[in-house]
Amino acid sequence: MTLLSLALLVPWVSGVVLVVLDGRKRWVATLAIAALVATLGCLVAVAATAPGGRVSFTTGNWPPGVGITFQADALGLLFAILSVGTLTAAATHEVLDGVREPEFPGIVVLLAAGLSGVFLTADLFNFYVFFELALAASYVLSVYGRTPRAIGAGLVFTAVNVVGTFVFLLSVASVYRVTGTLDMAAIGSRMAIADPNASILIAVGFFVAFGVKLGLFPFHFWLPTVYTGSRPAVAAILSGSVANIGAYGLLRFGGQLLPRELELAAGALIVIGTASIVYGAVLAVSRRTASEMLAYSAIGQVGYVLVAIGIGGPLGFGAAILYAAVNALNKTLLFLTTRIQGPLVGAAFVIGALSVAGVPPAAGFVGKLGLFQAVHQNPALVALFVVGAVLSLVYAFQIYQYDHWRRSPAEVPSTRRERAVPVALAAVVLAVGLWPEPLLAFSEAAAAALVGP
Amino acid sequence: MASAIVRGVAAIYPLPTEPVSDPLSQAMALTAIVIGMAVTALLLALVLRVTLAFRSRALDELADTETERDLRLERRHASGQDSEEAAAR
Repeated sequence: MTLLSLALLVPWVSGVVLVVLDGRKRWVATLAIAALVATLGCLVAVAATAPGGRVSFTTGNWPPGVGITFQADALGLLFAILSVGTLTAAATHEVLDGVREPEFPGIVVLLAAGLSGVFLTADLFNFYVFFELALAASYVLSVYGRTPRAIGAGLVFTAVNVVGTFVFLLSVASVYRVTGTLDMAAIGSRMAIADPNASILIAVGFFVAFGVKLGLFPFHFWLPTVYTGSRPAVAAILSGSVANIGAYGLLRFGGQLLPRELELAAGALIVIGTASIVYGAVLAVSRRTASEMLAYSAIGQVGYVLVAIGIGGPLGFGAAILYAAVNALNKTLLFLTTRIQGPLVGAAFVIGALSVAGVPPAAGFVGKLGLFQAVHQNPALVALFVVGAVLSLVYAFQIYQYDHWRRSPAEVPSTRRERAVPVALAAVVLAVGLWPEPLLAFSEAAAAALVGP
Repeated sequence: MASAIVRGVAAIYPLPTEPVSDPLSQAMALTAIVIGMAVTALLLALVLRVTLAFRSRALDELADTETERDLRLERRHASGQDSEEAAAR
């Protein structure tokens, strides 16, 4: 319980302090990284002390059901560790490169507070509050650099997500109206006896809100502008950490709170997922710059997660969790390698590209394997996944050819500091691919937490 | 307040004889208003930045500036590749 509250309080308090300090100074940036690492340490310690089990506490010593409950189960912990981990990597990269705006380190730490709050709360309204905290921090991050391009992208990102969270809030209010509670565990059981007309509307509201966050096919329109307009570290944070809220939300709200509606919509989810995969992959092939290719690739990759959620059951949810985790690692790695050159950068990019395509030594293989296990009875989906993987190989190596293979004499290699984080992340992706058991066990436990009573 | 579960007097000092209104939906509405206002303020600040950066408020002009820049970038990229290929040959 102490560790759980520390995981929320450390980034919150240090974020509030750091945001008023000048983050361009080296010691402030270092403090921010230390706060992120401490948060990550707390989360890992919670996971280590309660393997597979749940830790929960209710604020203010209220009886459960009255007070606001925080709960760490395997699903929440996996996403929290993953998101804060990728956030730490991206922030370290930017700090080593040189921070450009005074508020950057503090905002990143506040984002970590929002993210761990979203993943560890068991109260619906509290979810909304932390959701807004994380999003407000990412609005500020999206204009980082203050080039006209980044500011334009930031406006698009903010406007779209303000509408998205408004839809989410409407659904939260409707859930309270229908079930009379905001406690996630109680909602799951009370939703089962609710009026189907109301509950389907609620489910659609949640789906739209998280679909916008993830950048799924019909809601993807904002994504390319934002990911190509912002700096690599910010794009890595948005796609590697903030987008996890969407995947987690679909899993938690679909799998636990509205299982009946998820079953009803399974066909629609698979169709939308398929459209996402095809659209993202085809447009990514037609792009010539790394960040544009990655933006469209991101649309395609979340399609796989949605298809797996549509299939459902322990196998489908397990595959969705695993793929979302691996995808977050891939995207962080690949976005960080854009705009840097030099020895080992090409190798790091290749590892990320192989991971996106699902070729064995990289982590992506584990994710793709889980997906194929989930869909092996459906030949059409197997064919779709194979085509998607081949297309991703094509677009990734096209970019490799343009950016890394041909060495143009004008380019100076980046300094060792700038190359350190992408190379280390590539090593992590490779290590997860070679020794996937911990991640597999974790995602199985997470899927069990979702479908279990 | 449409989502309130029970109606009654305000829940400041509830008497056992009278029904009490549901305070939770009011608390939620207030929190949502506060958050919404803060986020709208942030959005407004962003709009100001965009206006300063592009020197225009009209959406069409913004879109034109963006397209122009994209075209310029693409041309530069294409010419860079052409010259590289020529050099390779």
